[in-house]
Amino acid sequence: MADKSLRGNFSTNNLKILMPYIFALLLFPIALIFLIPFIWMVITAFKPEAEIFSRSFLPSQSTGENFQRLLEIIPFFRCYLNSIVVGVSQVSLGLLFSSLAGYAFAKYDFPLKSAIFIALMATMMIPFYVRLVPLFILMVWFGWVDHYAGLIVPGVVSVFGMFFMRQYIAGNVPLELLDSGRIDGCSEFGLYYRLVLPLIKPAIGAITIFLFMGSWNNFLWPLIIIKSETKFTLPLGLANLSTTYGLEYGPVMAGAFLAVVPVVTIFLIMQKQFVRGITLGALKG
Amino acid sequence: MGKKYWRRNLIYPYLFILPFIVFFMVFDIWPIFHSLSISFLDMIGLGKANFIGLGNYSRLFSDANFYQSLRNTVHYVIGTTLLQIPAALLLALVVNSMVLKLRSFFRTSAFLPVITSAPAVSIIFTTILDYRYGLFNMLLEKAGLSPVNWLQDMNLVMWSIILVGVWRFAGYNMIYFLAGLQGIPPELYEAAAIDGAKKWQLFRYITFPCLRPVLAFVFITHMIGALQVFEIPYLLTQGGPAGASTTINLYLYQNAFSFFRFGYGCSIAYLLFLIIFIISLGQMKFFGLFRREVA
Amino acid sequence: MKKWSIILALTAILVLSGVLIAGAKEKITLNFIDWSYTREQWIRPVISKFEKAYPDIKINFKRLAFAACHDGLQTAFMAGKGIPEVVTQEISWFGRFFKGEERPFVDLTDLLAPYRPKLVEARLGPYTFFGRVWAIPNDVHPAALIYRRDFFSEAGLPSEPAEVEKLLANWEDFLEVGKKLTRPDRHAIFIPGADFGYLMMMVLQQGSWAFNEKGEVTLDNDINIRTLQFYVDMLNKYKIAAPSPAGAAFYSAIDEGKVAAAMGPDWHLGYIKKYTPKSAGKWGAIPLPVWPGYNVRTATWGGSAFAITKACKYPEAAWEFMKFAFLEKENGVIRWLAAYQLPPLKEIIESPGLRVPDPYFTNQTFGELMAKLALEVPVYYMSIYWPEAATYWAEAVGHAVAMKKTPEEALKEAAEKVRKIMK
Repeated sequence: MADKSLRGNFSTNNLKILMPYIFALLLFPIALIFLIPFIWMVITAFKPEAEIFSRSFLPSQSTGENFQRLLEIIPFFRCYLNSIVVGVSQVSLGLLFSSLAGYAFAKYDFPLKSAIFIALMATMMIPFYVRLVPLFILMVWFGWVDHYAGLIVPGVVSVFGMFFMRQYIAGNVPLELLDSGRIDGCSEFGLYYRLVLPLIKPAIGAITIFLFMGSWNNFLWPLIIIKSETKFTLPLGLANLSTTYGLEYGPVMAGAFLAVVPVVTIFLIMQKQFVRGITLGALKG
Repeated sequence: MGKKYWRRNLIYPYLFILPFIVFFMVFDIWPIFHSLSISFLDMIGLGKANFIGLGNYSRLFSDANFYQSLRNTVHYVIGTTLLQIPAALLLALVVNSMVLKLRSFFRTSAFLPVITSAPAVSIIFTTILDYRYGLFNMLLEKAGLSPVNWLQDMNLVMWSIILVGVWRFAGYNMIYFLAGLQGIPPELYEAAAIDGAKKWQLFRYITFPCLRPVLAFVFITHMIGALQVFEIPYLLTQGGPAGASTTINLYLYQNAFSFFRFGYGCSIAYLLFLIIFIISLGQMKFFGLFRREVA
Repeated sequence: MKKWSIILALTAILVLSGVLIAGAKEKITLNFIDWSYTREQWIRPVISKFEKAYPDIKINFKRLAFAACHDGLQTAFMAGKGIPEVVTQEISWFGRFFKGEERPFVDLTDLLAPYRPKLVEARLGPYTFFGRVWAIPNDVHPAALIYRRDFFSEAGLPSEPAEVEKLLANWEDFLEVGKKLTRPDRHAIFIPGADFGYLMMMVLQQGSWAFNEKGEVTLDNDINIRTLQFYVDMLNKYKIAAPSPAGAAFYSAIDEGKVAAAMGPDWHLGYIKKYTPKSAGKWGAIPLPVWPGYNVRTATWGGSAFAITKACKYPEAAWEFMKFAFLEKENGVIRWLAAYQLPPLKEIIESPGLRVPDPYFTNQTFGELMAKLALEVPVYYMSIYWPEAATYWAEAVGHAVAMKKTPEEALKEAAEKVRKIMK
């Protein structure tokens, strides 16, 4: 009797331990759905041109010719740099402005506060394309067409980012802390700089990824604003790898492959912050 | 005491929101109003523009291509929402119950589609969906079925675009859901388990309510993004065949930047804006985002 | 938090340096933009020759994406900045720039006058607006029909060009022969399922197009409707044609022998030749079949031209370059051999240098055929509403092929849409 129950417990325990791995096995095909196109992309990046549109999955020989061609046709590393510059600029300025504003809305009381906030929220729903033509005209007036400023500045403001900051700060920065800071003689800006910012690192992580993704993937705006090759961002540069019958598969894959690696690395690093940010920010919201 | 009060409640808050508000006014508010005024003009490029009142709108009402792009966009939004969000949630639920290392692996692989550049994605899917040489049709043929014209059949092409959209963003949303799930205190589950709650009850009464804010976030950002879908139709099918995959944003781009009909383009945008605005307000009320916060 | 100041500072530096690098260049150069890889091949040596002959002029040739050369050019015009001096423009998109009151290009009518007798006059039509000529055409683009000799033999048909030409004298003949050539795994020809390019060639042979010389919309005239019906029937009723695959698959399919024939202008055939190496040496070429009541054996589709923008500060220098590169005979044959693009210069068309046996076409003198046809290319007249009309025409073809509308309905709808815009 005792033997049987022991054995029963043993198998249930085993099962419990194995469950996650069994799940993983079942789910692996799903991860594959995400990964296979990516793997295919990597393989194609190394395939010789003639074989790209054939029915064979693996190349007969791996070649670097796509990478060569990539660099020949567009200033690829320049495009890369541009995307990074634009991304970093938009993220840092965006973080600065939205955290400042979010802090103000969360921890201060001032006239018209609700009205302004609601007005801002209301605009969150307005799709970008409503502003597309006038923004373009504005860029012409400012002389910012085909200019970094035109690429970066209009995308700096993110109402969502500000909203997220506000929610997070409201829920995670106690008023007492700020009051005691004031009593200690800290300036208002110092409160923000020294007390609030350290506390909202997870939110910063979350919004960084959110803003960076938006900037990195942005295609329509650079398409309209940028005409010189040297200012192309990555998506624009890759889209320019075209022959008359369409995009040149090999070089685009090579470029996309090169583009993905560092971003994934950044993601791996920022993952933890990001998760905490969503968790603590969203749940308190 | 009085002076500090003024500084605290008047100068500093406004100072802090000033940079944001300035940029916002210039790049968000002004264009929204300017768009409206341009929509009342017959403006081709930056040349002379005549005031034509509601002329653009009346033309819009009888524009079959506009309705087509509207239909396509709605199709896309509904299709991706119904497919992608439940899929992302499901995936998150399952991945959440995994060992930490595997979770990280899944999260990273889910992230890859999102950061892959749009031109690369369009090429990848060209080769998957091509009629003669695509992966899907090759598999269909092996299974003895007839090949499907994913990209050139007017009835199917929008579904193909939806497919790409789901592939691209399901993982991204899964990551958000995962983060949300990880924030639910395990004590809640333990307490409920002790009370003898079943799995689906756990989901309905604990998981779902706790996920509500994340769900709202994912849902709203997804909708906003889906309404603006541009890259994949532009790169993969160029809005074809015969406009069957032209979305609103693509139609607007064609009118405004290929034909230079700025006035008409703005009227397209504005009409949509009104429709969406009304719907969004309703959405926000539904998710209770107007609830007052106690700081 | 020092991190922040560092990050901000770095950002500022990066942005500033980007701005500075971008603004720094200031040389006396002529920027010349184009999108065509094949054109780049022959123009670069020509540019080197020019720069040697004119040492104080530098031509900065840049190959950009198609959209950048066209939409991007318009953006540059609007911004007043970054406008290249010499541009290549595709035939369909050139007209847009004449919609407003400004003429952003230099009027070349008088400059071209001494050269006009040497040019194929028909090619100037598409670049003529308001009675003035604004660009030098790059090409003539005569269209021909090419066919697989081996497939014809298999079907018990003659395979020598002279005989096949008689066999396929008109489109009715093509239909009949097409039926003999069609098998379960092969069609007679690919034609686009949702684009007007091939249809356009067919109606041009009958003197019709989307607009007439008065600028009126003729999309829905009888010739267009009848021809679209024939087009749709080739696909759906007689099934001798299949819808063209998109992109690279088009060439792969031809290479694998999925069709017995192809048609198109020289550039189109040139690409087919380039991307179907496996089938080299198996093709023959003949003029297009004619339509009942018409004797035109060729048509045209596509094209580009070179123009000087008003923003060019040195229009005389630009004209010297244009003359050298595009109106001089010596570079002409090279263009043909490099890119299958026949320049609109009669002396080149009549040059024996073209009578070279082409191994791809089983040593037929393909160039000779093209030269003959080049002199028969029909004229047509551009409209500034062509981009819109092109979009609607393509849609009409798509709807008709998919049997969602009859050719008459589809074309009438398209024509009405264009007329509405023109009001």
